[in-house]
Amino acid sequence: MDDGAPSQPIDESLKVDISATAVAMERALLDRLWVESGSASWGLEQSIFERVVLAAGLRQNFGLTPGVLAGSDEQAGFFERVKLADLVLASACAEGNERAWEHFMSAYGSQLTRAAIAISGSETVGRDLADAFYAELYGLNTREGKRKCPLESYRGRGSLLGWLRTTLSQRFVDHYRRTFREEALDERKHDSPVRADSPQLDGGNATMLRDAFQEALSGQPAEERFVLAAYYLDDRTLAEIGKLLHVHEATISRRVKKSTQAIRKQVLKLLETKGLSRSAAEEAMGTDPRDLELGMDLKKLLQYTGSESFHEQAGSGLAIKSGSVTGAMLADSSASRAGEANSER
Amino acid sequence: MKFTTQPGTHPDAEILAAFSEQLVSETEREEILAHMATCDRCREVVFLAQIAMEAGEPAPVLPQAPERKRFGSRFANWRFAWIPVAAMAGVVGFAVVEHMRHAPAPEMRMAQNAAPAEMIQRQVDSKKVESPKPSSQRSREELKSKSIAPARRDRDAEEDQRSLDAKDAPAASQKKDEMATQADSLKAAVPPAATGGAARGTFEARAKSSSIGGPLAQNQMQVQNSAQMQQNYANEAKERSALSDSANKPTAPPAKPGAATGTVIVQAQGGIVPASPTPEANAAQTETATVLLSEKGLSKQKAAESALPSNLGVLSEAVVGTKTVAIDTAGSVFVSRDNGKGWEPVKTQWNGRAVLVKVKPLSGQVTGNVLSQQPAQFELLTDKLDTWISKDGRIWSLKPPITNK
Repeated sequence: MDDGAPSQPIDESLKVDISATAVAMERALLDRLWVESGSASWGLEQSIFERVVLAAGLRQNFGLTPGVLAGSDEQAGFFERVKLADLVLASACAEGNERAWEHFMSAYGSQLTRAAIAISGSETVGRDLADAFYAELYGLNTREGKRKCPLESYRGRGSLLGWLRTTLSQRFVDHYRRTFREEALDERKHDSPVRADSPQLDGGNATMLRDAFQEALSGQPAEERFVLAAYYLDDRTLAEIGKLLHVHEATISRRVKKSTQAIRKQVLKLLETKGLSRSAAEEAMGTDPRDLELGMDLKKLLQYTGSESFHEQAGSGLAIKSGSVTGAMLADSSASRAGEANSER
Repeated sequence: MKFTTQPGTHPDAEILAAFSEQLVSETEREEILAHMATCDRCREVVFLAQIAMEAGEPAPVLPQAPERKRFGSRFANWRFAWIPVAAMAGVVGFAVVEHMRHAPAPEMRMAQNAAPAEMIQRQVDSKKVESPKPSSQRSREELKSKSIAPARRDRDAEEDQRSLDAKDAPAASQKKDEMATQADSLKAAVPPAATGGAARGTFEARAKSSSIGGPLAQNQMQVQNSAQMQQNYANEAKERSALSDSANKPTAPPAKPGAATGTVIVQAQGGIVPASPTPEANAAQTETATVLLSEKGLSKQKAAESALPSNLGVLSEAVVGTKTVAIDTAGSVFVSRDNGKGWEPVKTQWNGRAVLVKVKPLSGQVTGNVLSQQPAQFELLTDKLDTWISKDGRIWSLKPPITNK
């Protein structure tokens, strides 16, 4: 499952000879890490453990900037900040240790399958996704003649299971985006009629409205912009957003309402500052976003990330969504998600 | 981590997973959020990973948050079930209260059970002498129990009285004379119409109920019956005798309430308290009965109880100077000339059995200007209702009946 997109840089594994272990790390630290990791419970040999631990530490230079020599304290502090047991298991699997793979499959095999089914929304697609991911993890893919295992990029910062789920989600999203152009477009989304009372803006006013909206949106904090994007663009529920940010959904609802009102007020103020009258500014706020999209590059306005790969993948289908957030934020009387936010509280 | 500064890159899975698990610093969090605000791919990745986490079992390394969520959701599923449960509990409680309010039978039974408990408590507490309480000072519980079911208690008392009269008539006729004589010195602490019948009816109800009364209640009922029988016999004797002025009066002066009388506990054995007229009542002799006795009569009885040659209890006694005439419980008459130190039997000179001896008070007779005073005499009353007179206690003569001129 190699999509070729440079979405995730893979760190180069560092092969360290076992003879260098005693030199690089103290014996006492290795013994302590050996006990703490619990790797002996699933049959890992201590010599392999020492080599794996040293390789994992050197791969990240023990959390220090490249070129800085890590002392024993830095080494011990580094291993205290990582998920040592998961890191050892992932590194051992990346090296092809059979005992490690047996333990990995018994611990995470069924969970990965359930996660793939939940992500894809289909058991068939989910099992296929899981099987392909197992093959990728096992290192069946090669790059430049070398076996390539994604587990080598695991650095032990979060849990291994969380990393697996996130990586699986990345694979699914990348696969969906790669095959998106091959699927038929949803006619319902694209054929919705344009509001008859939507004012038609000329090029100058449309540009003014776009600039005002971009300026007002950029003035919001990053978290507020993320909430607005997830709520208006991705149609995520308040509960989903709340769980991801570890806050209550009522809090998300208040923040959506507050941010929407602030952006609308700021846009009106900017439009008046740039020469529009109050009535003309309010009329411009009622513009159908699809008109704005047709008249200007609103996709670039709302979804600009500077990422070429993203620009390449974000097709015209997403522009519909980008229009919806603009309409929700700009339109005052339309049945927008802002009203839903109040009703969901 | 400067992934946002590198064009064409996204936060890797390690960073996004750490963001979901809140394991990133505040600076990194701001960078990730700023990126995801404009990157729908990364937003979709993190939301799909969150869906996968909710669908799968909690990870061994992340047991806390999912388990707390499941624990809360378990109670959240039941939170609406408490509403009908609380409503049902309220309805049941209201029904129970209404049932208790409108159900008369249990309340009647509770009132009946209150009186025996009070009687038992009174017997236990009356080890010491105390003045009798007037009816107006009786306990509130007793009055309350009387006021609740007076009709039933009276009916029980009447039925009980009739059954006892019919059953114990032969035995009662044999002992009614001594009952009548002792009724003058023995007074029930409570009026029979007020407490005897009511309490007896209550005892009967308790005795019939194996779960409430039991043997103790049966014994109490028998003692109560014997006391009632005793007073009935005394009343009959009063009515049938023509000696309403002397025979029915107690030997001792009438006791003044609160002064010369007291409530004592007399064991129902020996000759002080008459034996129960029924065999069943004999088994209850160990039970106690509350009676009123004059202190003087009691002291005399105790003093002369073991002095008579017959070794029987003193039924009646009279003293004139140093002479003393006494009747034992068997009806034998003895006379003493030395204040009861030595006794001599008196030959029976009358018909029937002696039941009462008393002193005829001094009487004066005016002859001209001289007042001749006659000495005191002994009067002896038999069960034939004859009165015999003696000056020395040895020789007795029949007193002529008083005729109206």
